[in-house]
Amino acid sequence: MWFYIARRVNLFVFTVAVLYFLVFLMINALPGELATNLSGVQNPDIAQYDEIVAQYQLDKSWFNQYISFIKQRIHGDFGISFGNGQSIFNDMLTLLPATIELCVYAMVIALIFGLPLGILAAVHYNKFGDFFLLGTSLIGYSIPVFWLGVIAIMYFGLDLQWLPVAGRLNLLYQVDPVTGFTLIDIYLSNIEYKQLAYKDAFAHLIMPTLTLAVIPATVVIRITRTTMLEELNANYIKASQARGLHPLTIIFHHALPNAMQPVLAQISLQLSTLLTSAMVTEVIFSWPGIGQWLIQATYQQDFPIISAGILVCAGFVILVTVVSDVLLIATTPQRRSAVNGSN
Amino acid sequence: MPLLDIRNLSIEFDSPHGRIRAVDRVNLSINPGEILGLVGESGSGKSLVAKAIMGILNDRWTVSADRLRYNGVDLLSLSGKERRKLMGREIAMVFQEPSSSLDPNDTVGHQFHESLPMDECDVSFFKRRKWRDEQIKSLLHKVGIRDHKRVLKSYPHELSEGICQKVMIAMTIAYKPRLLIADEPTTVIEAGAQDQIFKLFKKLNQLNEVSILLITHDLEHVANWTETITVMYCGQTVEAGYTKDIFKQPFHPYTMALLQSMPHFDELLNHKSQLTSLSGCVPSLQHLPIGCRLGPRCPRAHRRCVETPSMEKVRGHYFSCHFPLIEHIES
Amino acid sequence: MARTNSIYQEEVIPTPLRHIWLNFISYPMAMLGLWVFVAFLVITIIAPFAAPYSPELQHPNALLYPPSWHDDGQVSFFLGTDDLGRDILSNLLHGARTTFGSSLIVTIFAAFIGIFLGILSGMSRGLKSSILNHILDATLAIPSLLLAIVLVAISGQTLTNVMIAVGIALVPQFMRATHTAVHHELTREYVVAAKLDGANQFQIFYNVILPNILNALIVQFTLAISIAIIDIATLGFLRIGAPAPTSEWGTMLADGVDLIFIAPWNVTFPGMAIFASVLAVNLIGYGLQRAVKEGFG
Repeated sequence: MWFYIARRVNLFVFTVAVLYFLVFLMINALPGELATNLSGVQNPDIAQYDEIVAQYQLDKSWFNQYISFIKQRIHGDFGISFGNGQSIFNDMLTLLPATIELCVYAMVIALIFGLPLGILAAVHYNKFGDFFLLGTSLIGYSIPVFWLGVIAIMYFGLDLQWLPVAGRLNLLYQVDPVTGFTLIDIYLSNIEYKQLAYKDAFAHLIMPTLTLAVIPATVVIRITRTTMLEELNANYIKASQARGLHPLTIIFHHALPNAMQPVLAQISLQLSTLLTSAMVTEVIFSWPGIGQWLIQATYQQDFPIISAGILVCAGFVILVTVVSDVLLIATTPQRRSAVNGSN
Repeated sequence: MPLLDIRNLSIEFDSPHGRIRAVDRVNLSINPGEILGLVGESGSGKSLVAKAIMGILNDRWTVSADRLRYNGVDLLSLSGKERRKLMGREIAMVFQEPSSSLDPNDTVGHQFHESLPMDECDVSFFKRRKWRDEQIKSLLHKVGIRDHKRVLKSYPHELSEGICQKVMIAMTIAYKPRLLIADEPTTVIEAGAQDQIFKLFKKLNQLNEVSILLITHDLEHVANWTETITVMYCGQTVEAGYTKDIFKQPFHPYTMALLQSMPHFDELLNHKSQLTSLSGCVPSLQHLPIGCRLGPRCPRAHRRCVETPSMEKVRGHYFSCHFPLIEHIES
Repeated sequence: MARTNSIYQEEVIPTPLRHIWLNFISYPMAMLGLWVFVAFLVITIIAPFAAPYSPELQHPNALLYPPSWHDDGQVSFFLGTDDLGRDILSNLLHGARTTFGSSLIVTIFAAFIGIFLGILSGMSRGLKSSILNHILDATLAIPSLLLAIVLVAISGQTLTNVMIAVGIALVPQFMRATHTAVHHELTREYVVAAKLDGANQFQIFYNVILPNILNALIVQFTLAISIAIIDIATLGFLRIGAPAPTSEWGTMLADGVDLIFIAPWNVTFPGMAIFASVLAVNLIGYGLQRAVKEGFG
């Protein structure tokens, strides 16, 4: 098994290397001076230019340039932004947790709602409940995320005035960003009105999270339903029924754990789509995360931010995929040896 | 009174071609302490009958019968909860592929723990685990598994089919059932273990008075280990009676063809001669013949065979054929 | 299923393709999806002829008219107008060409390239296959929106560039689906049998593998169409898509957001159009999936 983990880590390293290569190619294709696009310094004077050439080895072959590009990025130097000349790395550190927070909460909600509904649909196969759930999930999957967000803002935010429509936290609450995750930060801080702060953060979280969670929830429902149906028709389920086990025991102790593996595998595949939706959601709800930062950078043609954004987002996706793969194998070694051994 | 009494059991399902009757008015009866062999080719509906008795068929299938009684209790009128109480407790079933009848992601020991009956446990809460382990150990020894520790720790795919089947039997006899339905229990098992499993069945039958419904297509097994047999063809019962009687003198042309198809290696076979079998092949479900389903293939068929023959009885030997193979019929 | 007139019951077994089609037809939701899809296709083709006005034509005295079924609406502006007096119906019809039509074209191209590359990578083994796999993983990890943003940043904001960007984002998905399907088929025993028969790689692919992966590919194709529509609309909504005078459903939605209180129909109608087209494609895809599964079940 350790051999498999080593292979997976090797895969991770290699894939990230390929990713860096792709981004390197992209930066070279961007209009403008290569030195400017790599470092973010616009109109550098001679001294700065020489420094950049030395850092990124722009006078040597492209392979050296590629290697030094990787070296610079790994050391945390993502350059400075065209717009405000700030270090991109620092900006990223404050913005990334906001996006991760949104994605994680949305995924959790999708799982909490999607798994039971998927199981229900599988158990009521070919009956009304199944068709209803399937239809709802198809409809949910087809709604464009920005339309949903805009309508949500219109009704819940402006019409009914139940929920705030922008930002993460009302500016009245001064919470020190320790981890970057609002709820944890409120817990760790020592302001006086903690309860109110929680309520406010929660109110700001609800709409973006729910809007973002719709599409993953529908995907989870569909995949859970498919895998549960396959499991429920398997021989060992019939045998346990013949032994007289209670149906709920059968579903939750036997069918569900076996059906979970493909579900979790699919979820990590959905991650890049989730990031795209998250970026759009952030723009609509003015949520201060990577997505909104990137979109603003696009309007302003801020190339260093764009390339940094790709590296971070794609790197995050690859990391999560590899970690979830390793976790999956670590928790179910028998499945793997069953697949390799018999049949 | 028979332990299991089935009369005119029919199992149908809806297909795009219409309502198909896969099992057509089958009769079966097992007395307490008897071993009955249910014989037939693949596709004759034997497994369907077994699953209908246990009640584990899909919703697609519709089961109807004049009588489907276990020990006097009508199985078709039971609710789900009462059915579950019967299953596993009084009626138990052993399946064809034993390693796929166990959860592949769970150890054998854990699954055994789950299905162990706790009714007779009179030990305090803390000693329960030890009691369960003792029970499991004794059950495994009863079925002939010596190294129970290794077996309990393994996953199903790590054990051979023979051992898996013995474990399944051990799980079923934990409840001390009175009827054991064995659906082709030894088809995928190697010959040495086959023998052990049949001996196990015999032991259960003689010591614990367990009736066994043995479903198989192998006539050798039926001849050696059963007392009565019922022969099915294409969803219909064609013959039923004592094994010795049927093997000595079969009445139905199909049974005769079955017996003749077994190669007798004590006679001299001609070089490259064909083995005897009925012409034609088993009809598909979409095109079942009307009346007696053997009709198109039967060498003795006449026009009357488009009516389904009813079951007749001669000296404890049942058959359903308009033109049976007996010399004279006692009136 | 079909019977001949003879006395003997012959069985006419339909070919797998016909079987799938018959199953697909029997599912009303999928047929509904198919009809709506065909309707959108027709609109895409006849839009310039059917639209009452040119989409850019502004009517200064007809600003913010509500749809015709309201009291203040007029039939000549059937679905109302926006704040510059442009007719919404005409914009929707022309936008169908942009959003729906170009996503179809993009998907077809991406399908060809992606499937071809996927087959190459699926049939290869060892180091070559593993390298291709890694490149695939890396490209798949980049969110499609980011890819589109970069490509638009590199080569400017035109409709063609947007289409190319969305297409490039779709190619890895086709590659991944084809690669998985081909790999799965290669483990089958009839491929080994064909190899023992003496078939070379191309013959194995064309005769043995291709017929069996067609179903998975068709399903992936419908999925990709819906992704393409949403991607193009999203890019339009974020205003990095097709540039200003081109009507596009996402851009119409973005324009309408400012007017959401006084003229909500600016947001509803483009949104409904996107929703309906994506739902239709998804229904077709689901019907196909079901038909394929039950066809061999």
